Amino acid sequence: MKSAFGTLALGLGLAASLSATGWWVLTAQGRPTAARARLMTWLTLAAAAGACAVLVWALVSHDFSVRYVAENGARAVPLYYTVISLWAALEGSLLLWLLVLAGYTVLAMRRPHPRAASLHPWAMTVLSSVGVFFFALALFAGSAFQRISPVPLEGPGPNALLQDHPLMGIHPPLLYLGYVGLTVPFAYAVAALVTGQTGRGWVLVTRRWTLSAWTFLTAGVLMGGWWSYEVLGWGGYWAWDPVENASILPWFTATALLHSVMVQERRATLRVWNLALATSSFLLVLIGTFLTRSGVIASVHSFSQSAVGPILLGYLVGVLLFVGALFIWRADRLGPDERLDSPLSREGVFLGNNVILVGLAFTVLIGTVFPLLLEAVNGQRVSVGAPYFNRMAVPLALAMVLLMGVGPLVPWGIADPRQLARRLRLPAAVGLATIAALGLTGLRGVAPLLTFGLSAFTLATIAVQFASGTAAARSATGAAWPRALLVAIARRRRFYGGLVVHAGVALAAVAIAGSSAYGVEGEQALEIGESFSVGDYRATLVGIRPEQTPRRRAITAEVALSRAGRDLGVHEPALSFYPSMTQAVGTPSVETQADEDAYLVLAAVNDARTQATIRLAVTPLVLWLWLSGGVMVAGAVLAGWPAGRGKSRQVPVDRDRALEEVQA
Amino acid sequence: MTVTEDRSPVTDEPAAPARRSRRRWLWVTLLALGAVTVLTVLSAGFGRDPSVVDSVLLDGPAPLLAGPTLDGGSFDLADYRGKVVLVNVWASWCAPCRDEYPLLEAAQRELSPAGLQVVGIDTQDSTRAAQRFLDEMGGENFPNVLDPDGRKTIDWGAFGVPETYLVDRDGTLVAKQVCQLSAEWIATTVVPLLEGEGTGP
Repeated sequence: MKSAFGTLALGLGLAASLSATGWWVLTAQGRPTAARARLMTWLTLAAAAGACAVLVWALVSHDFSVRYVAENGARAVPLYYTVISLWAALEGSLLLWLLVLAGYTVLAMRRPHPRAASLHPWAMTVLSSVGVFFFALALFAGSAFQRISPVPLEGPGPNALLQDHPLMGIHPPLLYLGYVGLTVPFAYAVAALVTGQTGRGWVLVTRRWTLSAWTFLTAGVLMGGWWSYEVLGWGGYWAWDPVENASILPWFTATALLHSVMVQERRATLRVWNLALATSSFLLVLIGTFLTRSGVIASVHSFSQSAVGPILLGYLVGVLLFVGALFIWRADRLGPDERLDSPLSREGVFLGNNVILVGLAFTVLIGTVFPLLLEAVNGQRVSVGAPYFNRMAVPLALAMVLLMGVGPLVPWGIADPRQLARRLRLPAAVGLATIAALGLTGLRGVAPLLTFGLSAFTLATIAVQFASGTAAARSATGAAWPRALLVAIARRRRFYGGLVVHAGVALAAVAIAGSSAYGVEGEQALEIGESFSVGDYRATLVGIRPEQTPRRRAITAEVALSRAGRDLGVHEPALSFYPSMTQAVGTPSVETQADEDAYLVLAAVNDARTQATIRLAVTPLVLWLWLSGGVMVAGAVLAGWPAGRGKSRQVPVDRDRALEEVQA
Repeated sequence: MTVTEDRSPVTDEPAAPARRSRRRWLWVTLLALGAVTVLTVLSAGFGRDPSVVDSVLLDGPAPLLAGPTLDGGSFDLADYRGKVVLVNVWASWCAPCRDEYPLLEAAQRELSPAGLQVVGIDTQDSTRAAQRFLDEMGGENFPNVLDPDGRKTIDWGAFGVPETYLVDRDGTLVAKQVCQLSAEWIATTVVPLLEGEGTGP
């Protein structure tokens, strides 16, 4: 029965999104069909929510006659993990995708932006048509609701790695909110191309959409790193796994887009560039989805192969051709661009930042698909490892940190080099002093020291700008420091929000450099009562405790940890054996501290349970990477939160601009 | 400061210039080429089981394997033409490697008179940890090539540890086992190759 309900919901969703697409096309051509189109769009959301609800219901009630439940459910799995099994496998995660897409579609529909009213129905057409594709995919290729007969008595449960940590309930939805959110800028970019209105309108509408998608994507990517750190037990958070790469590819282009649209908001330039960034972000989302869902690349994330892969590839190529054709058709509306006054200007820095970000996206994309490329050409099988990515990405990322510091200090139009040099003097001194001080304390390595120096420089430029903004507000209002700071921020939220995001990125750079350059680790087989040291940490094996539940069999090592004689308590890294998996799943135990993490892994236990092999990795600054995510999200929210009712509803952009003029 | 310059409202939608159809065809061609490339590259991986990652190197010449070994000597696979070589990728930090080690040791002890040579690739490992691993296992009776940065493992197309490769007497890679070895695999795959004088299993 649930099978029927689920299939019905998907069928209804397909029909609703098809007719919504049709009605929106007619609306775009001036027919009075908007009401019907809106109704159908709402219906799409209802259908997607219904399909998800039915599947969760089937999972929770352990209805093994539904194929997805038979393949991913088990009675012994706790309720929380049963509910989030919705996205533990391909077919279910397609439903979550649909729900998020339909939700965004409804949100995008509700209030057309006054500056782009004629683009709105076209954008809605695009969003609805993307819905058509994904509903059809879930209905015909996903087959989550297929009825199984005879009904199995028990299922294998979700992938063991996915039922081991509560973060699994947050990371995929956040990532999807980011991924799918990029469909809205794409839809408006296509609308701009279709109508030929490639000017500022679409840029103004999509700015906030891109920013919110970017915020979710940032949080989702970092959350993924955190999950991998807490669960996978190899001690790191990023392995340049193809699917990690897939999640960061659209992040690069979305970040580039967030910056380059600011140029187009002010001058008639970069049309093609912005449209290309918006459309390629969506294409990269499709590529990422394809890489994750098709199983063409072996990875911890990849689901099994199915008909979904080829269909997604077909869609990806179809969208690529469609967008390319639109660009060629509208070539006459895409130029000529206004020239920049000077390379030494905010515009110039944004261009530099865009080149770097697109370069990063390109580098990572090539590294990710290179094995496939080589296989297509000569059948050889290679894997591109972390050394390639690190060598290519680190210099680009460092250049990005540098520009991040310089950019906000450079005025629009033409900068006066002498004045700029004067403003950069103090931050540059802070950066150099940081390198010198850290070098003197004995830290080694060019890349990490450079990263620390550049990050200090960038943080100093940010501090200088907060200080001078506060000073200006103080002299204007006469308020005290804390209040003046709030006044300054409230006046230019977008600007200061951006600075906070920059501070977060600089913090992340420091954390990444420190944790990847200065970690130490050791591994030893210990009898109970024995201990070993790594750095100033000492781990003592206190006991080994087996545990057996219907869901899994686990062996836990009780390890007493101390740092320089100070007791840090007993930690319990474990190995779990799930009935559905041949290999054991490790559960590391992490002692998180402000300066460094001690990361304990149980690598092996002998049969007599008298000896355990313990790995202890000491990694500096990891906590700051997670905190930097919070800073970035806070900055993005500060920059993008809709202005309050009343005073500033009408034209926020011009208000920003006027204030900037006042301050300059 | 010069910030306030050039703030006049932008003239938004440009007029259409004369079309240049030749350039347009160039772009159409480029777009078609791009689409074909994407299609070819991304579809290269279809139709195979992602957990079976050995399809290509199998039945071809085995990759090169030469370099210093853990015991301070050196090893070159090329010197072992005429022998059946079992190449095992391992690391001291890998738990299944610990479990399968006795099997490898036994294979070397019992099957070397029949022409088998076992060789390990100790990958992404520190020499000290690896040495301790071998000490715990009761010493080594076959050479272990050092591969601290994982390059050699990549040459062999390994995706993880442990993985085991079988090279026949002519230097052809004839079999691959992902994950832990079993006595049964040795009996059904390695032993017939030793008896069959160089023909595949």
